Amino acid sequence: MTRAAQLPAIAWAVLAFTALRSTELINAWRHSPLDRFGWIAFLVWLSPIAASVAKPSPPGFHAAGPWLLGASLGASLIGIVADLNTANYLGLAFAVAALGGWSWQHALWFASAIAWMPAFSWAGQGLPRSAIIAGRIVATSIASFPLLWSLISPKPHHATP
Amino acid sequence: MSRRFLWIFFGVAVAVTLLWEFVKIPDASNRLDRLPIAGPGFAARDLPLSDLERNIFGSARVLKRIYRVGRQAVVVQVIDATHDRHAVHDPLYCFRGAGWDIATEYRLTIPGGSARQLTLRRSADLADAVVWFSDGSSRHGSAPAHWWQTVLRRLTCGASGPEPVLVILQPLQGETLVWSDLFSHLPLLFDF
Repeated sequence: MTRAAQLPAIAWAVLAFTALRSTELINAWRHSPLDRFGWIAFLVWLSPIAASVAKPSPPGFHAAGPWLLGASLGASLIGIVADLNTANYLGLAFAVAALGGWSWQHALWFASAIAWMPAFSWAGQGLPRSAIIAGRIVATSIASFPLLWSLISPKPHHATP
Repeated sequence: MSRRFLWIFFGVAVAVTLLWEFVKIPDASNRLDRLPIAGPGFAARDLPLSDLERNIFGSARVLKRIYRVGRQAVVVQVIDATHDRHAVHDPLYCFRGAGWDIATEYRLTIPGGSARQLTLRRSADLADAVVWFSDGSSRHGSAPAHWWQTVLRRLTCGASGPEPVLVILQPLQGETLVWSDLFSHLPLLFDF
C-alpha cells in the first residue's frame, strides 16, 4: 500500500486544518504583485512529499512525524491567537513535512518553505519583482529536486554473498 | 508524542479557532470619529474607495478624505485594521507592490514621535507621501514596531494598549506640499 494510505488519520486531519488556516495564501498569490507566482514555488516544494506519499510504505509514521505534527499545531495556535499568517503558513509547512520522512536533506527542503510565503517578498522587497519571482522558484528547486530525485531514483541492488 | 496527545492538541486548536471568533478587541473607531470634516481654515470631503482598495482593506475601517487648507490639498488615509490585521502592511512594501520605487526616505519629527517622508518614483512619475502609525498618543514610522504592537494586542486581548492606525498623507497628483506648513495648519492630524 502507498504511504498515503498508511498514514494515520491525525496526519490528514492536521493537514486539512492547517490548509484551511492558510487560505489567505491564495489571496496573496492572486492579488499581491510581489507574491505573484508564489504558487509555482509551492508546487515545486510539494513535489518531494507528493512522490513520498505515492510510494509503497509500511503502516504508521516515521519517528519525527508526531513531533512535526505537534509543531504544526503549535504554530497554528500562535497564528490563531496572534492573528499571524506567517505562523499559519509555518503550521501548514510542518503538517506537509510530517507526511514525508526526515533527514538533513528534508531539513534543507523544509527551510526552503519560506520561499512560497509572503514573508519572502517582504524580506526582499528592495529587489526587482523578477528577482523575487526567480528567487522563490530557484530556492525551492535547489532544495526540492535533489530530495525528489533521491525518492524516485531506483535504489542500487547490493549483491549478497 | 502519542497519537492520543496529538488528537487532544488538535481538538484544542480547533476549539481555540472557534472561540477566538468571539473575542473582540476594542478598535479605533472612537478616535477616527473625532477627526472633523470641517473647521476653522479647513474643509474636507470623503473620497470613495476603489474596488481594489475595498478588496485590499477587507473588513478594516478606512477613512479616506481630501483636506483643503488654503491653497493646499492633502489626501488623508487612516486605516484601522483591528478587525482585519492583514489589511495593514509595511507601507513601503505596499508602494513597491504597486510598482513604485522608493527614491528617498527621511525621518520626519511630528508631535508624539516621528513619521517617514517618502519620495516615490515610477517610470517618469514622482510622488510624495508621509506615513506613520498612531495609537492616539505616540507616533512612529516603524513597520516592525507596528507588527509587534498589533501582535501583542491580540495576545493580550487588547490590554497592551490602543490599536495603532496607519496614517498615509499624499498631495494631489502632480502637486507638492510643504509638510511642516501643512502640519501647522492641520493639527487635527495628531489628535487621533
